[in-house]
Amino acid sequence: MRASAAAANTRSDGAFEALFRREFAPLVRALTLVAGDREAAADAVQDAFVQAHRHRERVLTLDSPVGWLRHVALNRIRNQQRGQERQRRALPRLVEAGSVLPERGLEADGLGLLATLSPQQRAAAALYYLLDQPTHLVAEHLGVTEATVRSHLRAARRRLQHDLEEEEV
Amino acid sequence: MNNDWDEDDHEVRAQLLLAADNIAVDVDVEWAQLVDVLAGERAVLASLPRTQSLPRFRLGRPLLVAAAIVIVLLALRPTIVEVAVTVADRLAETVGLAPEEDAGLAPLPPSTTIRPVILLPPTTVPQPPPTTIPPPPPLTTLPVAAPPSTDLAHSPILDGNEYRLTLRRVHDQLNQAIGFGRTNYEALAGSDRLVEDLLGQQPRFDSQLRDTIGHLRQAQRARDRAAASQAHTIIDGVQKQLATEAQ
Repeated sequence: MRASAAAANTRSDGAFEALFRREFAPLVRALTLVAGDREAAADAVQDAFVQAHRHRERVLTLDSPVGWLRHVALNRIRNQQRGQERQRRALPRLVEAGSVLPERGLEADGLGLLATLSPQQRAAAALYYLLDQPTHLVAEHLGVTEATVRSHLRAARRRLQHDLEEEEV
Repeated sequence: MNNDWDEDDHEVRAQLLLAADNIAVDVDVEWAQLVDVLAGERAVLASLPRTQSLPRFRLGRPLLVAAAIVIVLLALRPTIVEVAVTVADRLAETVGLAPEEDAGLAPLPPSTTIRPVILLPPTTVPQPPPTTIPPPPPLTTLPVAAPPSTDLAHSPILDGNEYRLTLRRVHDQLNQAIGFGRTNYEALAGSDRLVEDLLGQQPRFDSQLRDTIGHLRQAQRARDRAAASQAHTIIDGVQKQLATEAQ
């Protein structure tokens, strides 16, 4: 009995490691675009994998384990952003009115093109195009209406196409 | 998921993926970090049962004991009540008070009845030296304001008269059977034979005692409360008459 349980554990540990090696990097990259911060994205995805390991027997049998991970990591990012927003409101004199918290990593990661988008446009584009979230979930995540999301996506598309055309020229 | 993409959407997605690929991610390093975190978590979980077991037992044992006591008390409640009533009856007899549960008479409120009360000297009071203060009298009797008729059936039988003691025993059985609204007719077992043994000893009461025997048997046979009550009334009357004569 104990031997078969150990064998099952080994099997699930192996599957869990394979899931991590396959999905960690794409998730971190997409969430970096959402959060505007590579470290915050990596922390959120790590946290999601820790939680997945606690429930690995169940998570590994889901139709889409990566969907579960994406959901947990996005929640973590959203909570983090709410905390930052509260912090910003609590310290109005230290941060200029209307500005957002400084983002780290985008320039260093060579994402100059995406850095021309506003944070909301970039997050909407990443959620929609890279994480395959429907517009109503993108709206829920960003705390805006679905119409606003569509507007962000249109603006992001125009901007990127414009920049690409300029680069080509 | 987003099947309604047009060509532009695919182009934008491709550009985003291309840009995202520039974000450096070292999966091996991240995996090593995750393994460390999971190992730490496992260590914390392994230490939890030892630290949590103590408070759980500390609270659990007294709760279990208290629950067991409550259950035993609830289970024994009828017995406890019965024993308490019996003890109170005996105590009242010893002190000279009529028991309140007398089956034939409804208990009167204490404010309307004054009964003779004999107070015993407190046992904890030290005895004063006999040379200076005379010792208190052993028994103090309060003035009797009510007619003694209701108490004669329960007054102490000091002369050891077997006839009166037997009547008292039957009276007690009747109180056990129907006192306080009880319907414990099994308590009357043997009472008719006790009364039967008295026949001929005091011929003037024989007629009443025969009636009593009939009532007692009817009460046991048919669980007849009225019959038991009549037996009680007759016994009570005979007891009072004998007590008056003894005084």
